[in-house]
Amino acid sequence: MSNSDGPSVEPNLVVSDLTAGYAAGPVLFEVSFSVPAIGTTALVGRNGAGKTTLLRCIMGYQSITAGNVWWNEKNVTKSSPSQKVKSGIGYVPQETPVFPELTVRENLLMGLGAAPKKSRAGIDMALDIFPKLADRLTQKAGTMSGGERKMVGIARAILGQPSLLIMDEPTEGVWIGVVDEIQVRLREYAREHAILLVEQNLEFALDLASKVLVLERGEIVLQGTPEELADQEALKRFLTI
Amino acid sequence: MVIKGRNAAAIAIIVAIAAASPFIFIFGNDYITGTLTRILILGLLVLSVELAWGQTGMFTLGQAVFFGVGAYSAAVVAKDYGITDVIAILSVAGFAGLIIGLLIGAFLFTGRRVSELYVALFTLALAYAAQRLATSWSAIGAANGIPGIPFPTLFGLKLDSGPILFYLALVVFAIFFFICLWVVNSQFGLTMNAIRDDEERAEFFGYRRQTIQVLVFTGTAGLAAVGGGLFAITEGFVSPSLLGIALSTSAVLWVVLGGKGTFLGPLLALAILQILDRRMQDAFPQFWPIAIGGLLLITIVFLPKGIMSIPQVLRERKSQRVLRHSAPIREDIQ
Repeated sequence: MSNSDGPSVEPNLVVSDLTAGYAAGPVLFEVSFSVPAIGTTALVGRNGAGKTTLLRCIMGYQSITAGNVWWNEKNVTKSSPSQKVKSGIGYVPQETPVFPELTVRENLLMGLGAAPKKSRAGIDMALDIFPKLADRLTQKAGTMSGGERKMVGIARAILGQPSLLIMDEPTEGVWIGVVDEIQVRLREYAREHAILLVEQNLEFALDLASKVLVLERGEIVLQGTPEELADQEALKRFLTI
Repeated sequence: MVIKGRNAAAIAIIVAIAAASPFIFIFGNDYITGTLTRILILGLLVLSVELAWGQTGMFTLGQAVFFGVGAYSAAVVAKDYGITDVIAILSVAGFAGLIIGLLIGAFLFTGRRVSELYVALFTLALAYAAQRLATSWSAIGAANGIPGIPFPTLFGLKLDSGPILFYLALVVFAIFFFICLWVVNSQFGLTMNAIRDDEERAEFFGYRRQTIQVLVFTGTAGLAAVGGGLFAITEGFVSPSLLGIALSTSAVLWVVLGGKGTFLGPLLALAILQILDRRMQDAFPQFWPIAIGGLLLITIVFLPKGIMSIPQVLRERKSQRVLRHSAPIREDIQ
């Protein structure tokens, strides 16, 4: 097990001793980790390990029993989701990350509206990242394929140019060709920003990541760079269902 | 967003009404003028329900409460305080609606996430309570309401004829109609639609759901109250039924029949039913309410998106017929 923080970049998100759960019982136990200001941090783990709950806690949507979330050296544990988005954290949820009744263009405009004004880019930026969307601007997002919806969701989040982009399973149920495209775009984005990626597709996650966290039954059991975790068999053992 | 594609048609109808309105003076009788005026006034109530429910997903079954608050405020201001200036009266009515709407909206939405059903039941109970309150409150006329409200004035001129009151209603309706169009086509309108579609996701995307819901609830209360104020000064009386469940559910009925998510559909449904209502109530007093109930059921079953969805339904049926006919050809090819 390693305590490395990955690339030599100061962390801008720090989670310390975070404990949280639901009425049925605790799900996360004193989880601590940091996300470097640049590069992709992959959070991997089995189904039910608590990955989505952890992201919801970071975003302020799930209440925390104990522990803290620090963002750019400010304690944002009790900040609302909207305050976190305004402070530069973007979020792409696991389930359909779009509004199905709105058109692609309207979904993208939603991303602009919520973002901090100083960092807003035009819709053209999203179309540069995912050119396929240019022909679909007037199409209702709900009529698109799962992969295309994910593209819209990611593009929507990126429009605010968040310093940290949090994504929950961006490749789940997505056709392999679209997965490759998403990977290319995320790699480009991670050159200047931070990404915290929850992903079941281990190959996809390790390929992108400069730092890997393994969550097991609500605890971080392994973390380090992909090189440090080069023995992927050991990693896979953790992830075997 | 459905409403955007129909902006041109909606605006065209407003312009057509305005263009045709000189004929009110020439050919119109009291009956026609009164019906059209009432349609325009109730149109403000319909717009408020559409904004709250159709655009933002807040299923209000008590919007008449705010309509009634506006009506009673206008009646009290005009009759008890002798203020007849239409701008002052409608300002007071709208402001009263905004205040009441803000208080109820803040209580309803702040600090909690409420389901559509919860909002419906809460507002339904509110309408029931408001009507009961007005019925027993002697200061506002109790069950008799407030009759004899003086005609309004504008810059000292008395607005005391049917056609003039029609024009007043037309101008007020047009102003608020265009404000509504502007709102739904703005970034704020987009956010309203996002909350309607999935309020949790809207929060994930960084929008303050509670604030937006309270703002919309308050704004639509003010809009309904302006309609109520206009009703009071054009009809000359107010009664507890203006605050109650019957008018509240009628407004929802017009939106359901017309098509939730559009402005044009509910306004058309309102106009058609108002015109038919006055004729049919007299001709078939027992049959007509049953027919209205049947019409609602048929619409929900066969046209769940209202009359505005008829072209879409016909297109879909046509394409299904084409597919059915083309199926054997595909088998032949294979």
